[in-house]
Amino acid sequence: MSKARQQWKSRAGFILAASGSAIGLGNIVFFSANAYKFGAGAFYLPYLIALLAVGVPVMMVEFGLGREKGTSFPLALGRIGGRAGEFAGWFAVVNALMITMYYIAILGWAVGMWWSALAGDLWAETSVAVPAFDVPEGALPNAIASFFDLISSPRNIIFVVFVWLLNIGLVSRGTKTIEGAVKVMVPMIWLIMVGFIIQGLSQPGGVHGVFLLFTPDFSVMGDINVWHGAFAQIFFTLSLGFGIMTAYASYLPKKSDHTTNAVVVSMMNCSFEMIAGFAVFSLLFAFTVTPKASTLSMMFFIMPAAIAELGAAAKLTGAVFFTLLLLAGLSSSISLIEAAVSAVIDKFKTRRVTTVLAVSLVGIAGSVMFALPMVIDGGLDSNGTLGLTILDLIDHYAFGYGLIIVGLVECLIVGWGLPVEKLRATLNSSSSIQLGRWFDIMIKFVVPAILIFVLGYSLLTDVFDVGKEATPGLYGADYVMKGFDALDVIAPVVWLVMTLGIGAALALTPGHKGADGE
Amino acid sequence: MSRYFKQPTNRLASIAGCIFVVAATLLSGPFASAEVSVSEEVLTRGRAVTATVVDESGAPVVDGVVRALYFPNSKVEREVEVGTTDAAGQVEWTPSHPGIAVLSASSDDTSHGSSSYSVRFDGVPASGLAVFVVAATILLGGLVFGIRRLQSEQR
Repeated sequence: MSKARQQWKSRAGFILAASGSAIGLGNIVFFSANAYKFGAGAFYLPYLIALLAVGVPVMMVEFGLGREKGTSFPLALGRIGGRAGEFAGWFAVVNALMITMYYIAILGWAVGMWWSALAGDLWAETSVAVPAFDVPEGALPNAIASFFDLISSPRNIIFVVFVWLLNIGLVSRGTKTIEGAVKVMVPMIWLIMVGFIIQGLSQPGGVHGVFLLFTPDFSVMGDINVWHGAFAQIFFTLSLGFGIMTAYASYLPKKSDHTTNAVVVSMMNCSFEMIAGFAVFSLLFAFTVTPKASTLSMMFFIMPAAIAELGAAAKLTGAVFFTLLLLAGLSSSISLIEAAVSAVIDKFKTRRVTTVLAVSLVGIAGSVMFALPMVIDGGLDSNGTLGLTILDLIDHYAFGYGLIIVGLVECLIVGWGLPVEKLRATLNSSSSIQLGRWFDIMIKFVVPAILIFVLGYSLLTDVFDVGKEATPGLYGADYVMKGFDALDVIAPVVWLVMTLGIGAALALTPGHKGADGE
Repeated sequence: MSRYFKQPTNRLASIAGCIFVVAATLLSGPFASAEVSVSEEVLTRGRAVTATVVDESGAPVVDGVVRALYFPNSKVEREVEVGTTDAAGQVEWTPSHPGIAVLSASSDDTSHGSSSYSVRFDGVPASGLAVFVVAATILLGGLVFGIRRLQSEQR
């Protein structure tokens, strides 16, 4: 006799879990810096179009899939598209697991930097020496020296394993522990952010940073990169293409209103992104620190440089900032792990504790690889450590291609295979917001067309150097890596072999197919 | 969840490549001992200030070309030549754009350093306010609308 599928205790718990999954590291520091890069206020136009045209409809599909099939992503797609559908689902899960590996490595670094913030290294008069890179004391800005000292030291592995242990504890009992955690973490994330906004706006000239963030420069609107950036951004920020939202929605009763849920979760995520810009830009402007559209740079170099200017308040503010990063990252990483765990449990009917430990052991091995302190570039001309290089290369493919491919395939499978008219009827049956035929057109034609454009442009940029500003060649070809010259080729091959190979193996392995609502 | 390194176009920036760019940016900001300075603490778009360029010995740089880089690290980055320094190493600079601006000086292929400044708006920007109102209405309005729907369904 099979056990009843676990469920969220409350709708609020589900909303907090789903929005906690979507609100991650990038929401805090990356979005606003990305907007600044693409014409500031002008970026909001393509961003909002992307949210309404792609983000909300695809989230409705992912929620609807969980509601309709009552199971995790691979089995849900498999029950519509057969083996090919299930394979697409497992591809998504394995791709998400690879992202989890380096995501948690980054969270481990955030813990390390939190430690440096409290210990005072980040705010000291003279920056620390970084022996592995032959960098003497005081030669680099504090934050950069502290970060490279951290990642070139074996102690960063301890922080990474520590974050994994936190994750294991939080997903150990499924919705019970996840719901309990997000009910504390997500409100805390919002509260801390409000504190940062108040602090930023109270700095001299801080409000002008917000003016800067919203004042548009429409001269960029003809640049295809801006539109590509906006559509890609919306897909990533909403945690689409991971299988998370389907897994989470499958833990709700069938009568749940997933149309409204999708609107609430999407808007909550994007509202947070918008207000985070207030905090980030007011601080950066007040202390004349130039933003950069790079999450790692913003998290570990640029924001600490601005916080350092707060004087006596820097130590506490810095520690709170890295706590914010850790909380936001944890609420996302537990959802990534849960997406994989629920998929394995649904197919193979394994015990939760065993499954969590098995998935985590694989994850820890991967995270340690991404956190490798092995220095391959003493001059800091390139990535500095092997792990950082691998992280960047895998991220490029797993995020830039993997998620978009999953989004495209799920729209095609649901749009044409289910078909979408059936999904719409299901969603409408339990929602006060009634979706019209426009929804069918979006899922069948518009969203796939947009995602094909995003994928195609990325491919053109990578392979044929269209619009590329840096050195021509495959992504990462210009990295300086002693003894590892072919990593730019090896990384995408490994990513493809892992996602396609393991995805196919899991799809072909006999197991439970799941039943509606089970 | 969002991105880690580069912008979505090329995917997050290769940390690697950008490390030195970031370091240079930071160093040119509050960490560098500026050789290019301005006469006012608070800069505002459209209000002239005097920029002074001195060499390492502290002597004024004569005939140095001063440039202002507006919106660094962005797609709308633009560089404007401010002018040439006089016998006192000074030139008048009227910031033409609000935001972060990097003021640099050079002469005869010799760089005399650079400094970053925050240039304030000369009032509340109407276009920025409009964008904020539209974005906030859609995002926060959508959020409130959705929550109220869920609440009414629960009742």
